[in-house]
Amino acid sequence: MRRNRKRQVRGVKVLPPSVAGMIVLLVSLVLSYWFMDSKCAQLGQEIRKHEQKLAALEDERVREEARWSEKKTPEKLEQAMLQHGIAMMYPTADQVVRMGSGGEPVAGQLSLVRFQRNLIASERVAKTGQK
Amino acid sequence: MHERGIQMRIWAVAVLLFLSFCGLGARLAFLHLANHSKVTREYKRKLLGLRGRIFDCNGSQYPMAVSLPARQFYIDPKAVKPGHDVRQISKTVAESLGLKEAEVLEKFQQTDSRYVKLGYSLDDRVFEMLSDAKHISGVGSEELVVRRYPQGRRMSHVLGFVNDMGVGGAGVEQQFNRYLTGTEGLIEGEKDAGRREIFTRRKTYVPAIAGSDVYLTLDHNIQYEVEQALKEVVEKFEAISGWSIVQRVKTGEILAMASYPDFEPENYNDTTLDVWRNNALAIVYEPGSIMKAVTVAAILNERVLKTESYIDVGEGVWFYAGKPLRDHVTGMITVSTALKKSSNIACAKMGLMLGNKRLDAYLRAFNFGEKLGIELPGEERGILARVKDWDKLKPTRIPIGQGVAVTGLQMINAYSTLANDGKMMRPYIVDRIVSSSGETVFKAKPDVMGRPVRPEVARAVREMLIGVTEEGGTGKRASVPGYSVGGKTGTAQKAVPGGYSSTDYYASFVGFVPARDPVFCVLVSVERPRPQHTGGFVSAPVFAKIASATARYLEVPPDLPPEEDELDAEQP
Repeated sequence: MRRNRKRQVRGVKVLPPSVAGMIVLLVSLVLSYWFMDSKCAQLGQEIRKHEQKLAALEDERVREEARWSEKKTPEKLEQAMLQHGIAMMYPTADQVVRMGSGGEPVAGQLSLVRFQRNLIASERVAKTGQK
Repeated sequence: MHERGIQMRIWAVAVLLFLSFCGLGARLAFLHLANHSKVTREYKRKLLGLRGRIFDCNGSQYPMAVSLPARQFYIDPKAVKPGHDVRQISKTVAESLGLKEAEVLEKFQQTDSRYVKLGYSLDDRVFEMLSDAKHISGVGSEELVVRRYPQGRRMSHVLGFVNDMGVGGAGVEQQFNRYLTGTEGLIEGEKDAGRREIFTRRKTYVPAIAGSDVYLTLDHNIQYEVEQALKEVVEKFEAISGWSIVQRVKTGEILAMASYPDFEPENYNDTTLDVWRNNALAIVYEPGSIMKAVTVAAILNERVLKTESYIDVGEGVWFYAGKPLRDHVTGMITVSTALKKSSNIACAKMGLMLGNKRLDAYLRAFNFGEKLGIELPGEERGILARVKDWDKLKPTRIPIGQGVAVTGLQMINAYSTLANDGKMMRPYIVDRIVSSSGETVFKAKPDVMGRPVRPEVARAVREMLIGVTEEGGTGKRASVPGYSVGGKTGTAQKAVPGGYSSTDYYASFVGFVPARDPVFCVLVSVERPRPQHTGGFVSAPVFAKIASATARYLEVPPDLPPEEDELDAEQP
């Protein structure tokens, strides 16, 4: 014979509805808090990872800067140029034309002699061309 | 009956749940309240405050000293996991850190210690590789800050070094240690079972503050020229040492300061204490003839003699107080000629004309016998005896640079004073100090120390000093094409116990460019050059080399007309 279990249980009062409702409310609150907390923790972890990455990149930048400045020391540059058969030297005084603020060559310089001579020569060439 | 059975079961479950919660509560209380729990969950991490950087005058493009974050690796032989092959770990570690495999393996066998130092690495990839717990064990690491000098030996005596404790041990590193030292930061909180910080439980976060950056007045390009020239001359003449300074005359700032032999600040322990010494300001030596310009300036300033006044130097030997003084010049000579030809007797007589008190007053006015107060440790004050302690010979020897001891810095500052129309500037080496937040905490200003001689006297002495580098002068090798040069040679016997050495000398040259409107002053001193030992032969060419490069680098306009042969060569 089949037993009607539903009917048998219907009359049992385990908890009053208000208490049960309170428990459900509390549980849902706990669950939402737990969910939010774990989300926050997850975000915190991400922030920490980014912080670490930022610090690592900053450290790397500092090290790269140091490596770069090691590479551009005067002797390293000289070595590099020598490897390519290039040699640099300061121009001799007569190879420099110094100009005043108005664009005119500054008097009293070694280069002025050459500059004036070139000027005369070009004027002469121009005159010859006109003739 | 059935209903009662269900209620019984519910109660049973409730009691079980209650008991479980009680158990959990007890455990929770134990974990929270027991002392060891606090200790084990406490997370504390110090954040390293990087030491400030040192730059040359060109700014942040050229760091001379930097602090780099690194990882110090060590071996904990007891922490090697049973399944791991020590030989394989040693091989990986050796390859990563550039060590010998056998050496690493040997360290793994030191089972009496749990911390066997390996080495450091600046590469994060090495850290990642050696942190691979699957294959590597027994290798630990800790954060470390490494002080690096990107230009190697450049400015080693000025920069100094940082010792193993992270404290400046010499030079700027020592003098400005309190500015350069960073402030440690702190993180406090809790950690999880994996010893990682629980981010949400962080209680304290104090960020680290990097130390301030120091900007020098030195220029690494000029310094390079000076160091190269100095190295060459010391090696060529098998000298003990050499030092050189380049100073801007109008402000007193030091553009270059070098001593040779030098050292690598990163490996300062590889050299001895005397190599660390900055000879330019720590060696006290008798200057010799370079002192004569000061004597002449004093006598002209006192109006005792004029530039064209005559002095009788006799036949080249003069006896005074029973002691002979020899000279290569004879007859009646002017004050100008005395300086140009570097006459000992003429200058000694000038000393007598001045008298002890006035001579002493001028020497002290030029700051001999006192520190100049440059911001570097180890500066010497020199030796200038009190007037009351002078013997009869002293006023005839001090004017020619004997019986008085100076530092290279004092000597160049005296010449810079003459080059700066008699205005003496305090030499300085630090231009500014900038905090990590960008705030300027210190800015140097040119400081006038005094005016020992009148401007017209300084100009007159400058004119005389031009003669030294011209034809017939002792410093002809110091001439720089395109520029007028004023300067003086000095060859001083080295003082030895009981007198002077007949074989060991200090060869010096000090001068300024361009002579008629000086921009910078250069001093070169070489200790015990051989076989040649005169300032004119040994130091003057070094001066010319340094001055030529510096003048062009600083874009100082040439002030001399073209030489005849140069013009001839240019004729079309």
